[in-house]
Amino acid sequence: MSDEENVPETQMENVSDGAGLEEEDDDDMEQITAQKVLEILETAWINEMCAPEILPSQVDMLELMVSQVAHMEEQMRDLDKNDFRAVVHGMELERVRYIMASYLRCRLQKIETFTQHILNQEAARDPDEKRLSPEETKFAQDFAGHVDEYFHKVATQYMPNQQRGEAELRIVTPNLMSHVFLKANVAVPAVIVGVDDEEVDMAAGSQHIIPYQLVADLIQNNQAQLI
Amino acid sequence: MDPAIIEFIGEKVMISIIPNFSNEPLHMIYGSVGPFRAGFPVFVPLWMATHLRKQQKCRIVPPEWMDMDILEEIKEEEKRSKFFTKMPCEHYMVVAQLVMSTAPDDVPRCEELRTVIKDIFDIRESKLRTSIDAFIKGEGTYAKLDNLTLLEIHSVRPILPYSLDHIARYQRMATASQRDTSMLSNSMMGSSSVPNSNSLFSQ
Repeated sequence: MSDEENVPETQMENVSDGAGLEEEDDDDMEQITAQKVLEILETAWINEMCAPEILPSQVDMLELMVSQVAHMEEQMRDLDKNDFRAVVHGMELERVRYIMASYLRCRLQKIETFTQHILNQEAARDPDEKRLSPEETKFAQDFAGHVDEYFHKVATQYMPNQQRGEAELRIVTPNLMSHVFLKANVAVPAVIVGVDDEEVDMAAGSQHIIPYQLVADLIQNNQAQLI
Repeated sequence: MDPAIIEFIGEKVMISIIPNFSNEPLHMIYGSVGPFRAGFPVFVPLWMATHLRKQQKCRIVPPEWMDMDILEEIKEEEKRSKFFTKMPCEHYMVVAQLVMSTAPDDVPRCEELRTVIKDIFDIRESKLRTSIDAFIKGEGTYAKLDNLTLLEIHSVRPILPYSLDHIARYQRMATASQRDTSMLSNSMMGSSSVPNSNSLFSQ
């Protein structure tokens, strides 16, 4: 269980055969271990479940993990189904897959709820600050298009113009001031915690309940995580 | 979050087992486990331990804190202290529940332990409810929740953040309508005989 033990199977650089992902990634990506990737994904998953708005996509980490899972499945194919190793590895892969699926499902749910809001925000962001993966962007656009088309077909086209209302008014936005539970990863000094600019120093490992917007940057910088 | 997800997260806790088989170390994605030698304790994640136990391939060694004396002490401490005390394990309820349901025979005085742990949980829950009551009445928007475990936080998850959100929403509405009213009454200055429909909101 020691972290130093960099056994071949758990290292990302060794899964390159066939997948060829590493060439696309920068140098420090090559050194990352599968364990680290899983930790990042797990944190992203829990943050995503707890945050009211959509967070930056971890699509690189997901791709690494998917190829790692595929690689391990490839290796396990030769093992007997009832082999102890096959059972345990199989269980772990199921757990990893659950985390990945649940993470993506959670993001899709947010995209379906806040479609237009998310699309507007994405359009305003710089290319390297985009929060959606290309696939998610496509899904969001298609989804928005289909919903509009459907409503147009079954209802709005039969309505007089003034009752169709402003499209802007129909946009659903997340409540960024909703309260979340948060755990500080490192000591963070002087976090504003109230509308009246009250400040609090967060110790590493301390837990708090606080409106999301006041700590959104801490979560993105990984100084704190949602729980 | 679903309780099942909290259990899922809690299942990552490492626990000691005594396997009755031998095997090479396993290189899991989460880290390496083993080597397994029959009769020698080894640390594995809880989900693996419960699986192996169900297959009759190991005995679970209860964690150190799963002991009558230690737990009684924690219970007394929890009763004495005004604040939440630090629990021996971040997921003590999950671990206790899983270990005691899959392997009651591996835990000495299992039933008594179960009662004590439940007592501790109940004391903490009632403390939590009292402090939430005080917190909401004090109209705060921020609170520190040190030493609460994930399960305990989630036992108040549906109600606490939602009620705070609602209170915050009402407060925003109140300030907004107050502003409207004052603007309206300013513009109506001098014609005080005109009934001000918005004055209802500011009172």
